[in-house]
Amino acid sequence: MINAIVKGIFKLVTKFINILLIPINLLITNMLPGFSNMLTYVSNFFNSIFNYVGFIMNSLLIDNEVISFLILYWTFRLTFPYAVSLVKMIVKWYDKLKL
Amino acid sequence: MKKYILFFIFMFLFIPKIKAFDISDMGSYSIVNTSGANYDFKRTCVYTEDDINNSYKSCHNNINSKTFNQDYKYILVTSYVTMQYYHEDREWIVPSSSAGSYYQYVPFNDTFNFQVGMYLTADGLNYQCTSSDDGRHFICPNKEKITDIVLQVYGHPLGTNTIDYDFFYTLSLQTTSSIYLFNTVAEGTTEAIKETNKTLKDDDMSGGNQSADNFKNNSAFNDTTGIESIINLPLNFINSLSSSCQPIQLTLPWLDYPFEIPCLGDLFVSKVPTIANILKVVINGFIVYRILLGIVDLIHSAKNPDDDRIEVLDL
Repeated sequence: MINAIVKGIFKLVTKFINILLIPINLLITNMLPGFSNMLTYVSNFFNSIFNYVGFIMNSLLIDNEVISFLILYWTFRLTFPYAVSLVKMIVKWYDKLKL
Repeated sequence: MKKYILFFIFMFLFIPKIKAFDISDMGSYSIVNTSGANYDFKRTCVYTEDDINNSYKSCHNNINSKTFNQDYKYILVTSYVTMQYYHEDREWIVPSSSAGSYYQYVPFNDTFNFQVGMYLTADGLNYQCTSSDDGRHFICPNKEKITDIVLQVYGHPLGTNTIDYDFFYTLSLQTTSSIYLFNTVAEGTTEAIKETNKTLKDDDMSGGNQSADNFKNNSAFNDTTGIESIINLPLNFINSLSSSCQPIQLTLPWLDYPFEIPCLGDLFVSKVPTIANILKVVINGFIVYRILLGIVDLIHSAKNPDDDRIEVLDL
């Protein structure tokens, strides 16, 4: 169940992003064909830098456990406000609807 | 008022459609239990002239099935009955009779005919099963369980004026009826329900790893222009954060001499472990302390019921 939900969420987000990018991709493909090469260079440049992030973190003596904790924190920080906002919204609806 | 109406319309969207059970809904149903419920018999009844006017003298065969004692509701299915009629050197084969129905056969004239039929009863005569519209099935009313079923195949003459015919005839009933017991929820459906329950209880999340990996390495997208890879750069950065340190391989220009820069942290720990460990405690402790402060601040802001800000949007 959880498996399907998680996979479904990923599929949903993927499809959503694909749909949003369809017109931009069409524009670049038909009107600016060279622009896609530039975008690829940019992403390749950053990905090359990212290859050395592990080296940098090790050089800064930051443990992997702390990095994992940091990632979890930012995941929590980016998702928790949505959950709280949703609960508050439901409570507000309930307050308005209750007789 | 408009909100109330919209709210109630919204609620009704989740009410499932009510659908009555129909045998045609069973689809590719499968047999639940046929043991002791297959019949292949032939019964011959000899009628004399005196029997002709006794229309209630049936040539019948009661088949007592096995006793079932399962807490299920069953649909009972059976095949057709064929009756053969012999009279001296003449023979008629009466067409098959549908389940639970009469078939009137008129071999000579309007004043004489045969009646052949098939009935199915369960748990006594008070529990009469009726035939389905297509005549192929007996459908018993819903019941918690059926403990005993009886198939009665019968045929008898119906005559009002047979004086002109010197009858001494043989009536032969033959059937290859099979009684299949079906759960009202067909076995295939039951298996599907079991599979669904199994899926509902499954707490395995390993399937999400592959989806996440596809998402992170950009293979989930149909990236034709490179935009998707740029959108994924933050994810790639987060992914690279947890990657292990790899020594940097370089080649000196002009000299064409390869050399390797080892992981400085490992080198530091190996050379001056005491200082390195103290530094690690200080650096990592400071980061964890900042994270904990951030969590406390986040929860503190969430406790304010009047704060509607979504902080993600403020980033």
